[in-house]
Amino acid sequence: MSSLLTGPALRAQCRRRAFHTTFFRSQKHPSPPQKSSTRGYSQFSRDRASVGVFTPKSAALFVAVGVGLFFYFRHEKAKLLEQREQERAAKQYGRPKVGGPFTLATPTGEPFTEKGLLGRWSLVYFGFTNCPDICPAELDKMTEVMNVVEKEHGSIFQPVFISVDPARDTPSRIGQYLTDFHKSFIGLVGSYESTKAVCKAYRVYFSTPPNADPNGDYLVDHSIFVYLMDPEGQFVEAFGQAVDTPEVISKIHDAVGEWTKEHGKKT
Amino acid sequence: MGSSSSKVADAAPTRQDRQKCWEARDSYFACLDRAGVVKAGDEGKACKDENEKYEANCAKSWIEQVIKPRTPNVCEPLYRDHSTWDNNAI
Repeated sequence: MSSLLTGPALRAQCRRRAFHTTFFRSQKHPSPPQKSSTRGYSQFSRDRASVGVFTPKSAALFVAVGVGLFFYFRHEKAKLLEQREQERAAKQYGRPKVGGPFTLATPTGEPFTEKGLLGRWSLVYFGFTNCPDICPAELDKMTEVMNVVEKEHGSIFQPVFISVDPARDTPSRIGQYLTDFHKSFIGLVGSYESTKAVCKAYRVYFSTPPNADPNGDYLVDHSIFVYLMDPEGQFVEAFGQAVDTPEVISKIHDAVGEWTKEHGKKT
Repeated sequence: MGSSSSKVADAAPTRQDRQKCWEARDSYFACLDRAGVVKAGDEGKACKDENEKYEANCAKSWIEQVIKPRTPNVCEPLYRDHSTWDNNAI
């Protein structure tokens, strides 16, 4: 605007603004900064209205910034809460339906259901005692993981071995087999039907036929995931063979940390 | 220890049992390498001792499982160099 006005026109314009300025100042309203030609007037009025560096202008700025920040932070906080809520919802929708009720037997022959896993974090693996290489390697991995996470978080974990070979794996045989691995392992086995049911609940494939020979020399083809279940028995994560020990440990650590944040305790 | 099938019925294989089996397997395979045999069983009498030890220490189902995967391992260099392909040997 000022570029269009030159010489007398500019001066006239400035004078008009100066007049308005002094008029409003006398009504105790702050006004926008003035051009250099009006310095005389604003200098004069500032001397009258200011207390030290605290001018009406800076007071207005202070209040405006304060109000602005208040609304800004309120907005940001609301956005963050909404985002967290969305994440939580996504996690619940995205959680696969793995796990569920089962009735199997422990190595001493006592019945054991899914309720026996509540209140602790469980690491569930399906295998068979006559397994040549993969099962022992995975159980060794679970043992290593257990040693580390127990040291870090305490005895809040339960490693579980569920047999997919009910024809040959008797409870006591499983008990003997597991002595090679972490001492807190619990070994479970059931009838063919209950084995099929627990495998279905955990989305585990296994190839043992219902009429397998208890004295037969055969291998069982089966899924080899290690399932991490939370203290409420909900599925958290499945670790495949390619997930190495440090990664399993760090995922468990993350899961326990998140749970603690939400529940105020580790189990 | 008896035959492999009675071993299966009595008790689960222990860590030592598995270790023994893998060691017997390794020495048998090493013998096959020395004899220049690609397919296990084609060695004639060359690795008789090693084979007997292997069969005594490993369940039959395990032997079936691990012999088969050996062939691709041995043959991998052959597959890589097409000029040495010999379908009869593989």
